[in-house]
Amino acid sequence: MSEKPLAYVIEDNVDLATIFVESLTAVGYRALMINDGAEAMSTIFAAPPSLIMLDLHLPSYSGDKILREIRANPLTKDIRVLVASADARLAEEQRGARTTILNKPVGFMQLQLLARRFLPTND
Amino acid sequence: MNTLEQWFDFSPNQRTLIQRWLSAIILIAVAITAVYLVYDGQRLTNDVEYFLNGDNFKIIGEISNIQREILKTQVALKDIRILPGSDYGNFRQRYASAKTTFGIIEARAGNAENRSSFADESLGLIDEMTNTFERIDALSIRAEAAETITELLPILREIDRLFDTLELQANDLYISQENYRIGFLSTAVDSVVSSRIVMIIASAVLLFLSLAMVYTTQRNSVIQQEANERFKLASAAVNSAIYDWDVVRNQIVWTDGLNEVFGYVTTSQWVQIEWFWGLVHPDDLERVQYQYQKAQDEGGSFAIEHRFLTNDGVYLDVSNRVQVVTDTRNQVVRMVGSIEDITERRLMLAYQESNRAKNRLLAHVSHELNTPLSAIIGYTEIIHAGVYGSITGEQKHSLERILANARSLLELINNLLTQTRAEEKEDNINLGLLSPDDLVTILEEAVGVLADSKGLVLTHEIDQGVPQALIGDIGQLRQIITNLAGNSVKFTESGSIHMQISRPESKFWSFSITDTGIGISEANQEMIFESFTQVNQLLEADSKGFGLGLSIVTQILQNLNGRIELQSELGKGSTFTVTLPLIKRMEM
Repeated sequence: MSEKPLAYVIEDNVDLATIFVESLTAVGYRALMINDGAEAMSTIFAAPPSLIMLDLHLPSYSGDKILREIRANPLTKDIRVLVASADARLAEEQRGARTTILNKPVGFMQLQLLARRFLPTND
Repeated sequence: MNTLEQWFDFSPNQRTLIQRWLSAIILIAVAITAVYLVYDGQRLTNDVEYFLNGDNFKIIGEISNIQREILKTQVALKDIRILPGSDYGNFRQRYASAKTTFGIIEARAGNAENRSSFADESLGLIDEMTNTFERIDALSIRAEAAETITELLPILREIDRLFDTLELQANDLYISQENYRIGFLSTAVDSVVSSRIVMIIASAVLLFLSLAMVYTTQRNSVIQQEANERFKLASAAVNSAIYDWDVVRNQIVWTDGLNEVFGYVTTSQWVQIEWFWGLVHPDDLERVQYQYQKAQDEGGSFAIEHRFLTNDGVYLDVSNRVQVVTDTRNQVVRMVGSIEDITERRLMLAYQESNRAKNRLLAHVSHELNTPLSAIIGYTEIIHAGVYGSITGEQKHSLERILANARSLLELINNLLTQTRAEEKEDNINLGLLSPDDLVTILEEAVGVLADSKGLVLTHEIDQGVPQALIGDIGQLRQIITNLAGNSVKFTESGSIHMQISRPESKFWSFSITDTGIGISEANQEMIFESFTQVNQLLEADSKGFGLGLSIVTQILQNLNGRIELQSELGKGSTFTVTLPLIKRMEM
């Protein structure tokens, strides 16, 4: 049995994070929840995933900063990032290669349909 | 310079007085000119009449008579010289006649009343001629007494010589009088002509002055009327009354705005300033008077808000703006001001403030509701999907009802959030570069997954002529596309959602979203763009109403100077076309 692709859900609201994790797990990811921006950064660089679900509104470490750092590092720059925000304008500013903008709220079913497309075997 | 300015520094009242005096002076001058012209005409007539019929003319005739008589006498004298003693009688008679004729002139010249008819030279000549006649008289006596012809002849020769002299003197007299006559006439004509020229010039100047005066007065009154009219319109337009306070006389005059805005009858009459103080709210009076006094001492302008009594007995909030007017000596002479009814503006500001507060509250509440509702929906979906174990048919049905209702609620909340944001000015436009492909990507992101799940195909086409670099607010466009395409997917069970990007006019670009769904009836086509009309329908569980989505799109497009059109037929699908101005990069 091959190793499942790794996905991080970076979201400070535990309920939403749980739902996203369940959703990604359901389509075949090994999904991990990270509630804190600083922790997210260290984890991402320690073990780069194949997909990141990123909330832009994190309390201590802003989502757009995390995204910039991911794109700046050669190890992580090609990771598919799903940017979720309730603020369409702020989300739009993050537009770039291998970045998908999602307007919150993002549902369980919706994320499943989307994440299935980005499974490494489908790439 | 300063002195000169002071000299001409007249108040409006002084100006009116000066104008009246000037008018009077001009009228008097015109009257004098007219009288003088009549008098002058009479004088010329008299002169000409005198020239034709007066003594002067008679004298010339008399001198001619003398000349003739002298000539005849001389001829008679020649006869005697040729045939001595032939006819003394004839000579004597002629000589007597000549003397008589001369006597008329002599008598005339001797008369003090008639002397003015003679030139000085003529008077001298007449004296000389008298002298000559006396000498001839003396010689004639000697001639009569002569015994011999040899004694007679030299005497006759002497007489003949004196007659020659007499003839010359008569000629000189004629010429002298003729010159005098002509001189008199030309002097008269000259004086008349020059006085006429002076009068003509004077009349022209007076005429010009009068016309200028009439024109200025007329024009002033027209300008005054226009200014009054403008004043009136302006004060009505700004909901104000404008006043002019003459500080020196302590009187005040108002525009009609006082009537229109505050209900007082204005008569354009100056009234005592005390009347104005009576209209200021007693509690504000001290504060207001202090400001006026301060401005009077220091000059400049000020604005003060206070309460002002209307004719209906109600105090209105007014903004009173005052400009101090000084004369050239820097003395405050007038205070011109406007009193504006700001009650409406205050209400409007209060309304705007409360509307903003309402929007902030709505945005906050919507945002706060969003997250827990998303959690409710998410968990329900997880259970519904059987992730946490299998569920019964009844449980599944219940979960579906929970989901349907929660999703309706979520959509309503999100639309409210977007709507309030679109209303907020600070959240309006944020222009950036975008390409037509970005719009396709946005479409894909917005509804790609949902369309996929329903088996709908997403297609697109970008017309040639659409610039690769468009300028727009991508966040707002995303909102529009999400709402439009979201509706399309919601109301389409099979077929496709198509995006067409084109450039219908040189200065506009557009994108349209076409579905193959159920379509919208004509009756509903206009209604669906209206705000809130479908809120009730949205809350109905089974409704798939358009909700606030389209009213938000309309709101956003207003902010972007764009427009939206809808083409639809029941059962055949709908096309929403959004047209936006093509902004060039320079205009950003």
